[in-house]
Amino acid sequence: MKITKSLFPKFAQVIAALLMSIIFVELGIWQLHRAQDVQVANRTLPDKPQISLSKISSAGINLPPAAANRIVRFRGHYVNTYSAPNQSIGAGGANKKVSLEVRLLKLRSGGAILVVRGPEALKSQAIVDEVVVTGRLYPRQNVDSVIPSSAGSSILSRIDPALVAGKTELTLFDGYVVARTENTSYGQAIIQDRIPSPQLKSKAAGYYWQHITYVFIWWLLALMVLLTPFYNRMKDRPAGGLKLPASGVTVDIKDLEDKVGA
Amino acid sequence: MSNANDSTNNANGAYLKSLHSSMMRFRVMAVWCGVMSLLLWFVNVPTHYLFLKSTHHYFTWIALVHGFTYPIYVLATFFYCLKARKSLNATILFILAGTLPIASFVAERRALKDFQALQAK
Repeated sequence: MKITKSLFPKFAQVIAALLMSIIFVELGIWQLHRAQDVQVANRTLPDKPQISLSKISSAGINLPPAAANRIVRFRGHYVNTYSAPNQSIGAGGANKKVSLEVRLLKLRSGGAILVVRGPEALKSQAIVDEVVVTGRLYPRQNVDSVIPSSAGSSILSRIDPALVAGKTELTLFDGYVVARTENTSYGQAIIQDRIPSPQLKSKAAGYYWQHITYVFIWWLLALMVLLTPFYNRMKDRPAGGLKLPASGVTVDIKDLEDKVGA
Repeated sequence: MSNANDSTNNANGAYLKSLHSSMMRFRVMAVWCGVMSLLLWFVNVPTHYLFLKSTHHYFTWIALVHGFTYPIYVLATFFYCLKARKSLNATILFILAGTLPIASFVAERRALKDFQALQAK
């Protein structure tokens, strides 16, 4: 009976330590998966085939995640012109700031979308005919590149359809397109300087090695939790684990402290 | 009788020496973790979530270095607490102190004070 009573708390301690260490191991595995996700997200994938904009997105709804980064094709008329100053374009790793020409294109199939044509020119091109645009679809920007209050009515502090929603009655597509080519309906290319339109990297939180450190920490904690049932035994070893090598005498530190204190 | 006293004095000296080494390892790691925690809490995290977000990429190393050195702090603390015969609760608190900016400095002072008290005996 006495044995059962003394064994039960020990048994409960071991079970609790096991459960906690399993949780910590699982947390480590979770972080390992996060690290792998970050690695996958930062990999450049081959572009999928060009697709019609209306097949992957619609006006008036949030941009579907699968639609971002796709090369899209659509046709319509430009109805408004805006300027997006102080925009970063990362050509060849350089972080150059330029003003971009952004136009609102009314699609033949309905709705409208913002199109980044390229760096802003001194003289804006007049394009009245229908154009066929191909370019990469990006999610809307959510950080202002200039102070919004200083932006005039034709200035976009960020490339976000929400900023032009009040200025048009058209239903807008979410996101924007960086044009790669523009052609008239007769097939003539419209000459214009373009900006690079690389694939947008996913902003999965954290960095690969950061998650790996968390894996290491969780698994180390799991190991230490497994040691907790034995902690007092480890602590109460004679002389705190001290065994004098010369004499081979093992000393109980509590006894020693009592003697020193006395 | 004299031999027994010599043996006790030798053991005491060896124990204090051994404890001192563990404590020094703990103190170095506590100061290191305290500094890294300060940088993490007041530089890395604010630039990630609150302000000057464009400068965050300059400070990503802080989380990495803290992440890789915290396990060393945990090990140093565990062995110090074992050697100093700290209770399990105290050991857990000492280990957690490495995650808070000021707490590890407090733990480091506490360890030094405890050692000096034991030395004075």
